[in-house]
Amino acid sequence: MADTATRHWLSFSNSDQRVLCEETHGELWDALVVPGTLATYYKQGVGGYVLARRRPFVIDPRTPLLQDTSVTPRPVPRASHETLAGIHDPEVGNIWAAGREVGLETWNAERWERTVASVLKFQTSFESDAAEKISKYEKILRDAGMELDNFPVHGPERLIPPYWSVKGIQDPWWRLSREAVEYAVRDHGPTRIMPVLCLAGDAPSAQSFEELLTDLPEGVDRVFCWKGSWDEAAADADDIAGWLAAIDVGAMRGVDITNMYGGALSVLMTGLGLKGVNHGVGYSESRSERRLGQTGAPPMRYYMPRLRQFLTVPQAQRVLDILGETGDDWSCGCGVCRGRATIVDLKTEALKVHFLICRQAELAEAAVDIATAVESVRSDGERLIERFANVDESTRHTLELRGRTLVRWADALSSHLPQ
Amino acid sequence: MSVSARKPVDIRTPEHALLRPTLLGLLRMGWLNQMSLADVEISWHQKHIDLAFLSRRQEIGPVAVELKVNSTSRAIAQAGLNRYLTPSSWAATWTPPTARVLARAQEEGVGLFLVAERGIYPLIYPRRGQPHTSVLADHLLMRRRRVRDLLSYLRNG
Repeated sequence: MADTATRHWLSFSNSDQRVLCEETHGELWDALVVPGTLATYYKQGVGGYVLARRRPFVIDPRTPLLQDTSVTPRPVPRASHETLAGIHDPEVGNIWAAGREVGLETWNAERWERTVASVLKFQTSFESDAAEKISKYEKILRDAGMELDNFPVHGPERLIPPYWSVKGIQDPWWRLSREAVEYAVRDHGPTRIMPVLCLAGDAPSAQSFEELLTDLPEGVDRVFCWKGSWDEAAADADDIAGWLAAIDVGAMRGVDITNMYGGALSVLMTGLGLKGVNHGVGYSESRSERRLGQTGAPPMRYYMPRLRQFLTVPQAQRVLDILGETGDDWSCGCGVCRGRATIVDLKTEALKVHFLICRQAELAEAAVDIATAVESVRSDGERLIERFANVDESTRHTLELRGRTLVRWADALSSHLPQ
Repeated sequence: MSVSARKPVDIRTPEHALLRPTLLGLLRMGWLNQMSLADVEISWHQKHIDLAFLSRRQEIGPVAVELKVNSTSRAIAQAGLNRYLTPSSWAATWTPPTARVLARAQEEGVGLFLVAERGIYPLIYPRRGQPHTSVLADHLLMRRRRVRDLLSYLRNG
Protein backbone atom coordinates (compact mmCIF):
# COMPACT_ATOMS: atom_id res chain seq x y z
CA MET A 1 0.00 0.00 0.00
CA ALA A 2 1.46 3.35 -0.95
CA ASP A 3 2.39 5.87 1.71
CA THR A 4 -0.44 8.44 1.60
CA ALA A 5 1.41 11.46 2.96
CA THR A 6 2.54 14.11 0.48
CA ARG A 7 6.25 13.93 -0.10
CA HIS A 8 8.63 16.83 -0.58
CA TRP A 9 11.50 15.52 -2.67
CA LEU A 10 14.75 17.29 -3.43
CA SER A 11 17.09 16.63 -6.34
CA PHE A 12 20.42 15.98 -4.68
CA SER A 13 23.46 18.06 -5.51
CA ASN A 14 26.84 17.92 -3.77
CA SER A 15 26.63 21.68 -3.21
CA ASP A 16 23.53 21.17 -1.03
CA GLN A 17 25.11 18.85 1.53
CA ARG A 18 25.25 21.53 4.20
CA VAL A 19 21.74 22.83 3.73
CA LEU A 20 20.36 19.29 3.75
CA CYS A 21 21.54 19.08 7.36
CA GLU A 22 19.77 22.30 8.33
CA GLU A 23 17.03 21.33 10.73
CA THR A 24 16.92 24.24 13.15
CA HIS A 25 13.81 25.37 11.26
CA GLY A 26 12.20 21.96 11.40
CA GLU A 27 12.36 19.24 8.79
CA LEU A 28 12.45 21.01 5.47
CA TRP A 29 12.27 18.04 3.10
CA ASP A 30 11.28 14.39 3.09
CA ALA A 31 13.33 12.48 0.55
CA LEU A 32 16.07 12.79 -2.04
CA VAL A 33 16.26 12.02 -5.75
CA VAL A 34 19.91 11.26 -6.43
CA PRO A 35 20.90 11.73 -10.09
CA GLY A 36 22.42 8.60 -11.55
CA THR A 37 25.28 10.67 -12.94
CA LEU A 38 26.38 11.63 -9.42
CA ALA A 39 25.66 8.21 -7.94
CA THR A 40 27.83 6.48 -10.54
CA TYR A 41 30.66 8.99 -10.88
CA TYR A 42 31.02 9.99 -7.21
CA LYS A 43 29.78 6.67 -5.95
CA GLN A 44 31.62 6.59 -2.63
CA GLY A 45 31.30 10.30 -1.87
CA VAL A 46 27.61 10.54 -2.74
CA GLY A 47 26.93 7.11 -1.30
CA GLY A 48 28.72 7.94 1.92
CA TYR A 49 26.73 11.13 2.43
CA VAL A 50 23.33 9.83 1.34
CA LEU A 51 23.60 6.60 3.33
CA ALA A 52 24.95 8.40 6.39
CA ARG A 53 22.13 10.93 6.19
CA ARG A 54 19.65 8.11 6.79
CA ARG A 55 16.73 9.70 4.98
CA PRO A 56 14.72 8.11 2.16
CA PHE A 57 16.23 8.39 -1.28
CA VAL A 58 15.99 6.99 -4.77
CA ILE A 59 18.53 6.90 -7.59
CA ASP A 60 17.30 8.28 -10.90
CA PRO A 61 19.00 6.42 -13.77
CA ARG A 62 18.35 9.43 -16.08
CA THR A 63 18.21 7.14 -19.10
CA PRO A 64 16.99 9.93 -21.46
CA LEU A 65 20.55 11.28 -21.25
CA LEU A 66 21.50 8.33 -23.48
CA GLN A 67 18.64 8.86 -25.87
CA ASP A 68 19.28 9.85 -29.46
CA THR A 69 19.34 13.65 -29.42
CA SER A 70 19.44 14.32 -33.12
CA VAL A 71 17.28 17.39 -32.54
CA THR A 72 19.57 18.89 -29.92
CA PRO A 73 23.30 18.26 -30.56
CA ARG A 74 24.89 16.23 -27.80
CA PRO A 75 27.63 18.11 -25.94
CA VAL A 76 30.89 16.20 -25.44
CA PRO A 77 29.96 13.49 -22.89
CA ARG A 78 31.30 14.19 -19.46
CA ALA A 79 32.90 11.50 -17.36
CA SER A 80 29.71 11.22 -15.29
CA HIS A 81 27.68 10.63 -18.47
CA GLU A 82 30.01 7.80 -19.34
CA THR A 83 29.73 6.19 -15.91
CA LEU A 84 25.95 6.51 -16.14
CA ALA A 85 26.04 4.91 -19.57
CA GLY A 86 28.25 2.18 -18.13
CA ILE A 87 25.61 0.98 -15.67
CA HIS A 88 23.16 0.74 -18.56
CA ASP A 89 25.31 -0.89 -21.23
CA PRO A 90 29.06 -0.58 -21.74
CA GLU A 91 28.57 -0.40 -25.51
CA VAL A 92 26.98 3.08 -25.22
CA GLY A 93 30.31 4.71 -24.40
CA ASN A 94 31.92 3.08 -27.44
CA ILE A 95 29.13 4.28 -29.70
CA TRP A 96 29.50 7.84 -28.43
CA ALA A 97 33.27 7.67 -28.83
CA ALA A 98 32.70 6.79 -32.48
CA GLY A 99 30.69 10.01 -32.83
CA ARG A 100 27.36 8.24 -33.24
CA GLU A 101 24.13 8.28 -31.31
CA VAL A 102 22.54 5.28 -29.66
CA GLY A 103 19.36 4.64 -31.63
CA LEU A 104 16.26 2.66 -30.81
CA GLU A 105 17.54 -0.28 -32.86
CA THR A 106 20.47 -0.73 -30.44
CA TRP A 107 18.12 -1.92 -27.73
CA ASN A 108 17.15 -5.39 -28.88
CA ALA A 109 15.20 -7.58 -26.47
CA GLU A 110 18.20 -9.34 -24.99
CA ARG A 111 20.30 -6.19 -24.55
CA TRP A 112 17.41 -4.25 -23.01
CA GLU A 113 16.62 -6.94 -20.47
CA ARG A 114 20.31 -7.04 -19.50
CA THR A 115 20.32 -3.25 -19.20
CA VAL A 116 17.30 -3.21 -16.92
CA ALA A 117 18.89 -5.82 -14.68
CA SER A 118 22.18 -3.90 -14.60
CA VAL A 119 20.57 -0.57 -13.70
CA LEU A 120 18.50 -2.15 -10.93
CA LYS A 121 21.47 -4.11 -9.61
CA PHE A 122 23.41 -0.85 -9.28
CA GLN A 123 20.60 0.46 -7.10
CA THR A 124 20.04 -2.67 -5.00
CA SER A 125 23.75 -3.01 -4.28
CA PHE A 126 24.27 0.69 -3.52
CA GLU A 127 23.89 0.26 0.20
CA SER A 128 26.74 -2.23 0.36
CA ASP A 129 28.90 -1.02 -2.54
CA ALA A 130 28.80 2.74 -1.87
CA ALA A 131 29.50 2.70 1.86
CA GLU A 132 33.29 3.06 1.95
CA LYS A 133 33.09 6.64 3.19
CA ILE A 134 30.02 6.34 5.37
CA SER A 135 32.01 6.69 8.59
CA LYS A 136 33.56 9.94 7.38
CA TYR A 137 30.13 11.45 6.69
CA GLU A 138 28.62 10.07 9.88
CA LYS A 139 31.30 11.92 11.83
CA ILE A 140 30.64 15.12 9.89
CA LEU A 141 26.91 14.83 10.52
CA ARG A 142 27.32 14.05 14.22
CA ASP A 143 29.71 16.99 14.60
CA ALA A 144 26.97 19.12 13.02
CA GLY A 145 24.60 17.99 15.77
CA MET A 146 22.64 15.32 13.90
CA GLU A 147 21.31 12.37 15.84
CA LEU A 148 21.97 9.23 13.81
CA ASP A 149 22.05 6.33 16.23
CA ASN A 150 18.33 5.63 16.27
CA PHE A 151 18.06 5.44 12.53
CA PRO A 152 19.18 2.47 10.43
CA VAL A 153 21.13 2.79 7.19
CA HIS A 154 19.05 1.92 4.16
CA GLY A 155 19.66 1.73 0.45
CA PRO A 156 17.24 3.30 -2.04
CA GLU A 157 13.67 3.27 -0.74
CA ARG A 158 12.34 2.38 -4.18
CA LEU A 159 14.03 1.26 -7.39
CA ILE A 160 13.69 3.20 -10.63
CA PRO A 161 13.94 1.11 -13.79
CA PRO A 162 15.59 2.70 -16.83
CA TYR A 163 13.14 4.76 -18.85
CA TRP A 164 12.99 6.82 -21.99
CA SER A 165 11.41 10.09 -22.96
CA VAL A 166 8.24 9.36 -24.98
CA LYS A 167 5.59 11.29 -26.84
CA GLY A 168 2.79 8.91 -25.93
CA ILE A 169 1.76 5.33 -25.81
CA GLN A 170 2.37 4.82 -29.54
CA ASP A 171 5.95 5.99 -29.26
CA PRO A 172 8.27 2.96 -29.81
CA TRP A 173 10.42 4.16 -26.91
CA TRP A 174 7.40 3.56 -24.64
CA ARG A 175 7.47 -0.16 -25.44
CA LEU A 176 11.00 -0.33 -23.98
CA SER A 177 10.06 1.77 -20.93
CA ARG A 178 7.07 -0.46 -20.24
CA GLU A 179 9.14 -3.60 -20.64
CA ALA A 180 11.60 -2.22 -18.12
CA VAL A 181 8.77 -1.79 -15.62
CA GLU A 182 7.59 -5.35 -16.34
CA TYR A 183 11.05 -6.79 -15.73
CA ALA A 184 11.37 -4.74 -12.54
CA VAL A 185 7.97 -5.93 -11.29
CA ARG A 186 8.91 -9.53 -12.13
CA ASP A 187 12.24 -9.39 -10.31
CA HIS A 188 11.51 -7.08 -7.38
CA GLY A 189 7.74 -6.79 -6.98
CA PRO A 190 5.52 -3.84 -7.91
CA THR A 191 5.72 -2.09 -4.56
CA ARG A 192 9.51 -2.07 -4.58
CA ILE A 193 9.70 0.16 -7.62
CA MET A 194 8.79 3.73 -8.55
CA PRO A 195 9.04 4.14 -12.33
CA VAL A 196 9.48 7.48 -14.09
CA LEU A 197 6.97 8.31 -16.81
CA CYS A 198 8.79 10.89 -18.94
CA LEU A 199 6.73 12.78 -21.50
CA ALA A 200 8.81 14.62 -24.07
CA GLY A 201 8.59 18.39 -24.07
CA ASP A 202 6.83 18.32 -27.42
CA ALA A 203 4.25 15.73 -26.36
CA PRO A 204 0.76 17.23 -26.75
CA SER A 205 -0.09 17.69 -23.06
CA ALA A 206 0.14 16.25 -19.58
CA GLN A 207 -3.05 14.43 -20.41
CA SER A 208 -0.88 11.89 -22.26
CA PHE A 209 0.15 10.62 -18.83
CA GLU A 210 -3.33 9.07 -18.58
CA GLU A 211 -2.68 6.54 -21.32
CA LEU A 212 0.78 5.68 -19.95
CA LEU A 213 -0.67 5.15 -16.47
CA THR A 214 -3.42 2.96 -17.86
CA ASP A 215 -0.82 0.85 -19.65
CA LEU A 216 1.35 0.19 -16.58
CA PRO A 217 1.60 -3.34 -15.25
CA GLU A 218 -0.76 -4.13 -12.40
CA GLY A 219 0.39 -3.51 -8.88
CA VAL A 220 2.63 -0.50 -9.51
CA ASP A 221 1.57 1.96 -6.83
CA ARG A 222 3.90 4.96 -7.12
CA VAL A 223 5.37 6.79 -10.12
CA PHE A 224 7.24 9.95 -10.94
CA CYS A 225 5.67 11.89 -13.80
CA TRP A 226 7.95 14.24 -15.73
CA LYS A 227 6.63 16.54 -18.47
CA GLY A 228 9.74 17.78 -20.26
CA SER A 229 10.28 21.53 -20.15
CA TRP A 230 6.92 22.17 -18.52
CA ASP A 231 6.96 25.79 -17.45
CA GLU A 232 4.48 26.45 -14.67
CA ALA A 233 4.53 30.18 -15.40
CA ALA A 234 3.08 29.44 -18.85
CA ALA A 235 0.59 26.81 -17.61
CA ASP A 236 -2.95 27.32 -18.78
CA ALA A 237 -6.23 25.73 -17.75
CA ASP A 238 -5.74 22.81 -20.16
CA ASP A 239 -2.28 22.02 -18.77
CA ILE A 240 -3.58 22.00 -15.23
CA ALA A 241 -6.63 19.97 -16.21
CA GLY A 242 -4.31 17.47 -17.91
CA TRP A 243 -2.29 16.97 -14.74
CA LEU A 244 -5.38 16.67 -12.57
CA ALA A 245 -6.92 14.17 -14.97
CA ALA A 246 -3.74 12.10 -14.80
CA ILE A 247 -3.84 12.28 -11.00
CA ASP A 248 -7.45 11.05 -11.07
CA VAL A 249 -6.61 8.17 -13.41
CA GLY A 250 -3.70 7.27 -11.16
CA ALA A 251 -5.96 7.34 -8.12
CA MET A 252 -8.47 5.02 -9.81
CA ARG A 253 -5.67 2.55 -10.53
CA GLY A 254 -4.14 2.92 -7.07
CA VAL A 255 -1.08 4.79 -8.40
CA ASP A 256 0.27 7.77 -6.51
CA ILE A 257 1.89 10.41 -8.72
CA THR A 258 4.82 12.66 -7.87
CA ASN A 259 5.84 15.47 -10.22
CA MET A 260 9.52 14.93 -10.98
CA TYR A 261 10.17 18.64 -11.63
CA GLY A 262 7.67 21.08 -10.20
CA GLY A 263 7.27 24.30 -8.27
CA ALA A 264 4.56 26.31 -6.58
CA LEU A 265 1.79 25.28 -8.96
CA SER A 266 2.59 21.61 -8.42
CA VAL A 267 2.59 22.27 -4.68
CA LEU A 268 -0.97 23.57 -5.02
CA MET A 269 -1.88 20.40 -6.92
CA THR A 270 -0.74 18.35 -3.92
CA GLY A 271 -3.91 19.67 -2.32
CA LEU A 272 -5.83 18.06 -5.17
CA GLY A 273 -4.27 14.62 -5.14
CA LEU A 274 -0.69 14.98 -6.41
CA LYS A 275 1.32 12.91 -3.95
CA GLY A 276 4.65 14.67 -4.15
CA VAL A 277 6.82 17.30 -5.77
CA ASN A 278 10.51 17.15 -6.57
CA HIS A 279 12.88 19.98 -7.44
CA GLY A 280 16.40 21.14 -6.76
CA VAL A 281 17.21 23.54 -3.97
CA GLY A 282 16.40 26.73 -5.82
CA TYR A 283 16.40 25.28 -9.33
CA SER A 284 15.00 22.49 -11.55
CA GLU A 285 11.34 23.30 -11.15
CA SER A 286 11.28 22.59 -14.87
CA ARG A 287 13.66 20.31 -16.75
CA SER A 288 14.16 19.51 -20.39
CA GLU A 289 14.65 15.82 -21.05
CA ARG A 290 16.83 16.81 -24.01
CA ARG A 291 19.27 18.83 -21.94
CA LEU A 292 20.19 16.40 -19.18
CA GLY A 293 23.75 16.65 -20.43
CA GLN A 294 23.89 20.28 -19.39
CA THR A 295 24.13 20.03 -15.63
CA GLY A 296 25.22 22.03 -12.64
CA ALA A 297 23.08 24.08 -10.29
CA PRO A 298 22.71 27.72 -11.30
CA PRO A 299 23.59 30.53 -8.87
CA MET A 300 21.10 30.77 -6.05
CA ARG A 301 18.20 33.22 -6.30
CA TYR A 302 15.70 34.60 -3.81
CA TYR A 303 12.29 32.97 -3.57
CA MET A 304 9.50 35.54 -3.30
CA PRO A 305 6.83 33.65 -1.37
CA ARG A 306 3.81 35.69 -2.35
CA LEU A 307 4.86 35.86 -5.99
CA ARG A 308 5.65 32.11 -5.79
CA GLN A 309 8.63 32.88 -7.99
CA PHE A 310 12.40 33.08 -7.96
CA LEU A 311 14.13 36.36 -8.75
CA THR A 312 17.78 37.30 -8.67
CA VAL A 313 18.64 38.84 -5.32
CA PRO A 314 18.91 42.44 -6.60
CA GLN A 315 15.68 42.08 -8.57
CA ALA A 316 13.95 40.65 -5.52
CA GLN A 317 15.06 43.57 -3.36
CA ARG A 318 13.85 45.98 -6.01
CA VAL A 319 10.48 44.25 -6.18
CA LEU A 320 10.17 44.39 -2.39
CA ASP A 321 11.00 48.10 -2.48
CA ILE A 322 8.40 48.73 -5.18
CA LEU A 323 5.73 46.66 -3.46
CA GLY A 324 6.47 48.39 -0.18
CA GLU A 325 5.98 51.87 -1.67
CA THR A 326 2.33 51.93 -0.63
CA GLY A 327 2.98 50.37 2.76
CA ASP A 328 1.88 46.90 1.59
CA ASP A 329 4.27 44.41 3.17
CA TRP A 330 5.31 41.60 0.83
CA SER A 331 8.43 40.74 2.77
CA CYS A 332 8.99 37.21 4.04
CA GLY A 333 8.47 36.50 7.74
CA CYS A 334 10.45 33.27 7.86
CA GLY A 335 13.18 32.67 10.40
CA VAL A 336 15.85 33.72 7.87
CA CYS A 337 14.23 36.92 6.61
CA ARG A 338 12.25 38.18 9.62
CA GLY A 339 13.41 41.57 10.82
CA ARG A 340 15.93 42.08 8.01
CA ALA A 341 16.20 45.54 6.50
CA THR A 342 17.56 44.04 3.28
CA ILE A 343 17.88 40.65 1.63
CA VAL A 344 20.80 41.75 -0.54
CA ASP A 345 23.43 40.45 1.85
CA LEU A 346 21.91 36.99 2.33
CA LYS A 347 24.50 34.31 1.66
CA THR A 348 23.86 31.25 -0.51
CA GLU A 349 23.10 28.90 2.39
CA ALA A 350 20.63 31.38 3.88
CA LEU A 351 18.90 31.77 0.49
CA LYS A 352 18.54 28.00 0.29
CA VAL A 353 17.15 27.63 3.82
CA HIS A 354 14.73 30.51 3.24
CA PHE A 355 13.46 28.81 0.09
CA LEU A 356 13.00 25.46 1.79
CA ILE A 357 11.11 27.08 4.67
CA CYS A 358 8.79 28.82 2.19
CA ARG A 359 8.26 25.63 0.21
CA GLN A 360 7.41 23.63 3.34
CA ALA A 361 4.90 26.30 4.34
CA GLU A 362 3.29 26.12 0.89
CA LEU A 363 3.00 22.35 1.14
CA ALA A 364 1.50 22.57 4.61
CA GLU A 365 -1.02 25.18 3.48
CA ALA A 366 -2.10 23.05 0.51
CA ALA A 367 -2.46 20.01 2.74
CA VAL A 368 -4.52 21.73 5.43
CA ASP A 369 -6.92 23.81 3.31
CA ILE A 370 -6.49 23.85 -0.45
CA ALA A 371 -9.43 26.20 -1.01
CA THR A 372 -7.87 28.86 1.19
CA ALA A 373 -4.48 28.30 -0.42
CA VAL A 374 -5.95 28.84 -3.90
CA GLU A 375 -7.82 31.96 -2.79
CA SER A 376 -4.62 33.32 -1.30
CA VAL A 377 -2.94 32.91 -4.70
CA ARG A 378 -5.85 34.65 -6.39
CA SER A 379 -5.83 37.50 -3.91
CA ASP A 380 -2.12 38.15 -4.37
CA GLY A 381 -2.51 38.00 -8.14
CA GLU A 382 -5.41 40.45 -8.14
CA ARG A 383 -3.52 42.91 -5.96
CA LEU A 384 -0.61 42.88 -8.39
CA ILE A 385 -2.87 43.45 -11.37
CA GLU A 386 -4.74 46.23 -9.61
CA ARG A 387 -1.54 48.08 -8.74
CA PHE A 388 0.47 47.60 -11.87
CA ALA A 389 -1.94 47.23 -14.77
CA ASN A 390 -0.98 49.45 -17.71
CA VAL A 391 2.26 50.61 -16.09
CA ASP A 392 5.13 51.20 -18.46
CA GLU A 393 8.17 50.61 -16.30
CA SER A 394 9.58 47.15 -16.91
CA THR A 395 9.76 45.79 -13.33
CA ARG A 396 6.25 46.97 -12.55
CA HIS A 397 5.00 45.51 -15.81
CA THR A 398 6.50 42.10 -14.96
CA LEU A 399 4.67 42.27 -11.63
CA GLU A 400 1.40 42.76 -13.47
CA LEU A 401 2.21 39.74 -15.65
CA ARG A 402 3.00 37.69 -12.58
CA GLY A 403 -0.33 38.72 -11.12
CA ARG A 404 -2.09 37.47 -14.24
CA THR A 405 -0.26 34.14 -13.96
CA LEU A 406 -1.37 33.70 -10.35
CA VAL A 407 -4.98 34.51 -11.19
CA ARG A 408 -4.85 32.10 -14.12
CA TRP A 409 -3.64 29.33 -11.80
CA ALA A 410 -6.34 30.12 -9.26
CA ASP A 411 -9.07 30.11 -11.91
CA ALA A 412 -7.92 26.76 -13.30
CA LEU A 413 -7.59 25.12 -9.88
CA SER A 414 -10.84 26.53 -8.50
CA SER A 415 -12.93 24.51 -10.89
CA HIS A 416 -11.40 21.32 -9.45
CA LEU A 417 -11.79 22.15 -5.76
CA PRO A 418 -13.84 19.72 -3.73
CA GLN A 419 -17.40 21.02 -3.26
CA MET B 1 26.94 36.31 -2.04
CA SER B 2 30.29 37.64 -3.15
CA VAL B 3 31.18 39.42 -6.35
CA SER B 4 33.75 37.88 -8.57
CA ALA B 5 35.57 39.05 -11.64
CA ARG B 6 36.84 37.52 -14.80
CA LYS B 7 40.04 38.76 -16.36
CA PRO B 8 39.23 41.56 -18.82
CA VAL B 9 40.47 39.42 -21.64
CA ASP B 10 37.64 39.14 -24.11
CA ILE B 11 35.35 42.06 -23.51
CA ARG B 12 34.17 42.44 -27.08
CA THR B 13 30.75 43.82 -26.40
CA PRO B 14 29.86 47.13 -28.02
CA GLU B 15 30.19 48.65 -24.53
CA HIS B 16 33.90 47.89 -24.70
CA ALA B 17 34.24 50.95 -26.89
CA LEU B 18 33.00 53.15 -24.05
CA LEU B 19 35.40 51.87 -21.44
CA ARG B 20 38.58 53.74 -22.39
CA PRO B 21 36.96 57.15 -22.96
CA THR B 22 35.06 56.71 -19.68
CA LEU B 23 38.24 55.92 -17.76
CA LEU B 24 40.16 58.78 -19.40
CA GLY B 25 37.28 61.12 -18.73
CA LEU B 26 37.16 60.13 -15.06
CA LEU B 27 40.93 60.69 -14.85
CA ARG B 28 40.63 64.17 -16.37
CA MET B 29 37.89 65.06 -13.90
CA GLY B 30 40.10 63.89 -11.06
CA TRP B 31 37.54 61.39 -9.86
CA LEU B 32 40.24 58.73 -9.89
CA ASN B 33 43.92 58.40 -10.64
CA GLN B 34 46.14 55.73 -12.16
CA MET B 35 46.51 53.96 -8.82
CA SER B 36 42.83 53.93 -7.93
CA LEU B 37 41.44 50.48 -7.37
CA ALA B 38 39.16 49.58 -10.28
CA ASP B 39 37.81 46.55 -12.05
CA VAL B 40 35.55 45.56 -14.94
CA GLU B 41 32.96 42.86 -15.65
CA ILE B 42 32.36 42.18 -11.98
CA SER B 43 29.79 39.47 -11.62
CA TRP B 44 27.11 39.85 -8.97
CA HIS B 45 24.01 37.72 -8.78
CA GLN B 46 23.63 36.81 -12.42
CA LYS B 47 24.55 40.28 -13.68
CA HIS B 48 27.82 42.07 -14.34
CA ILE B 49 28.92 45.53 -13.30
CA ASP B 50 30.70 46.97 -16.30
CA LEU B 51 33.10 49.19 -14.36
CA ALA B 52 33.65 49.90 -10.68
CA PHE B 53 36.27 51.91 -8.85
CA LEU B 54 37.01 53.11 -5.35
CA SER B 55 36.60 56.84 -5.19
CA ARG B 56 39.41 58.99 -3.83
CA ARG B 57 36.81 60.53 -1.56
CA GLN B 58 36.07 58.21 1.33
CA GLU B 59 32.55 59.53 1.81
CA ILE B 60 31.70 58.37 -1.72
CA GLY B 61 33.23 54.90 -1.49
CA PRO B 62 32.87 52.54 -4.43
CA VAL B 63 31.40 53.81 -7.68
CA ALA B 64 29.62 51.54 -10.17
CA VAL B 65 29.17 52.41 -13.84
CA GLU B 66 26.94 50.67 -16.39
CA LEU B 67 28.12 51.30 -19.96
CA LYS B 68 25.62 51.24 -22.81
CA VAL B 69 26.13 52.24 -26.43
CA ASN B 70 22.38 52.43 -26.89
CA SER B 71 19.39 51.46 -24.76
CA THR B 72 20.20 53.98 -22.07
CA SER B 73 16.97 52.95 -20.34
CA ARG B 74 18.40 49.50 -19.83
CA ALA B 75 21.61 50.96 -18.46
CA ILE B 76 19.56 53.03 -16.02
CA ALA B 77 17.62 49.94 -14.91
CA GLN B 78 20.91 48.05 -14.35
CA ALA B 79 22.41 51.03 -12.55
CA GLY B 80 19.29 51.12 -10.40
CA LEU B 81 20.01 47.58 -9.23
CA ASN B 82 23.64 48.54 -8.60
CA ARG B 83 22.42 51.07 -6.02
CA TYR B 84 22.11 48.15 -3.63
CA LEU B 85 25.90 47.88 -3.89
CA THR B 86 26.60 51.59 -3.78
CA PRO B 87 24.51 54.74 -3.96
CA SER B 88 27.19 56.12 -6.32
CA SER B 89 25.73 54.27 -9.26
CA TRP B 90 25.98 55.66 -12.78
CA ALA B 91 24.95 54.85 -16.31
CA ALA B 92 27.26 56.00 -19.13
CA THR B 93 26.20 56.33 -22.75
CA TRP B 94 27.28 57.83 -26.08
CA THR B 95 23.69 58.71 -26.88
CA PRO B 96 22.40 62.10 -25.72
CA PRO B 97 19.45 61.23 -23.49
CA THR B 98 15.95 62.47 -24.01
CA ALA B 99 14.04 64.32 -21.32
CA ARG B 100 12.16 61.11 -20.60
CA VAL B 101 15.39 59.20 -20.04
CA LEU B 102 16.72 61.93 -17.77
CA ALA B 103 13.51 61.82 -15.75
CA ARG B 104 13.83 58.06 -15.48
CA ALA B 105 17.41 58.34 -14.19
CA GLN B 106 16.26 60.82 -11.56
CA GLU B 107 13.44 58.54 -10.49
CA GLU B 108 15.86 55.65 -10.13
CA GLY B 109 18.32 57.80 -8.23
CA VAL B 110 21.20 57.00 -10.57
CA GLY B 111 23.71 59.33 -12.17
CA LEU B 112 24.11 59.72 -15.90
CA PHE B 113 27.32 60.40 -17.87
CA LEU B 114 27.41 61.40 -21.48
CA VAL B 115 30.57 59.93 -22.99
CA ALA B 116 32.37 61.70 -25.83
CA GLU B 117 35.74 61.25 -27.52
CA ARG B 118 37.34 63.94 -25.41
CA GLY B 119 35.73 63.32 -22.06
CA ILE B 120 32.65 62.51 -20.08
CA TYR B 121 29.98 64.88 -18.87
CA PRO B 122 27.92 64.21 -15.76
CA LEU B 123 24.34 65.15 -16.62
CA ILE B 124 22.68 63.97 -13.42
CA TYR B 125 24.19 63.02 -10.10
CA PRO B 126 23.02 59.94 -8.17
CA ARG B 127 20.81 60.31 -5.13
CA ARG B 128 22.51 59.91 -1.77
CA GLY B 129 21.89 56.76 0.18
CA GLN B 130 23.44 53.77 1.91
CA PRO B 131 24.66 50.56 0.33
CA HIS B 132 22.88 47.39 1.38
CA THR B 133 26.12 45.41 1.32
CA SER B 134 29.85 46.01 1.31
CA VAL B 135 30.67 43.32 -1.26
CA LEU B 136 31.66 45.74 -4.03
CA ALA B 137 34.15 47.63 -1.90
CA ASP B 138 35.42 44.33 -0.49
CA HIS B 139 35.93 42.99 -4.00
CA LEU B 140 37.91 46.03 -5.17
CA LEU B 141 40.09 45.91 -2.07
CA MET B 142 40.72 42.20 -2.42
CA ARG B 143 41.30 42.17 -6.16
CA ARG B 144 43.68 45.13 -6.08
CA ARG B 145 43.48 45.81 -9.79
CA ARG B 146 44.18 49.43 -10.62
CA VAL B 147 43.18 51.91 -13.29
CA ARG B 148 46.64 51.71 -14.83
CA ASP B 149 46.17 47.93 -15.23
CA LEU B 150 42.88 48.43 -17.04
CA LEU B 151 44.34 51.11 -19.32
CA SER B 152 47.33 48.93 -20.06
CA TYR B 153 45.04 46.06 -21.01
CA LEU B 154 42.95 48.33 -23.21
CA ARG B 155 46.08 49.62 -24.92
CA ASN B 156 47.67 46.24 -25.48
CA GLY B 157 44.61 44.00 -25.83
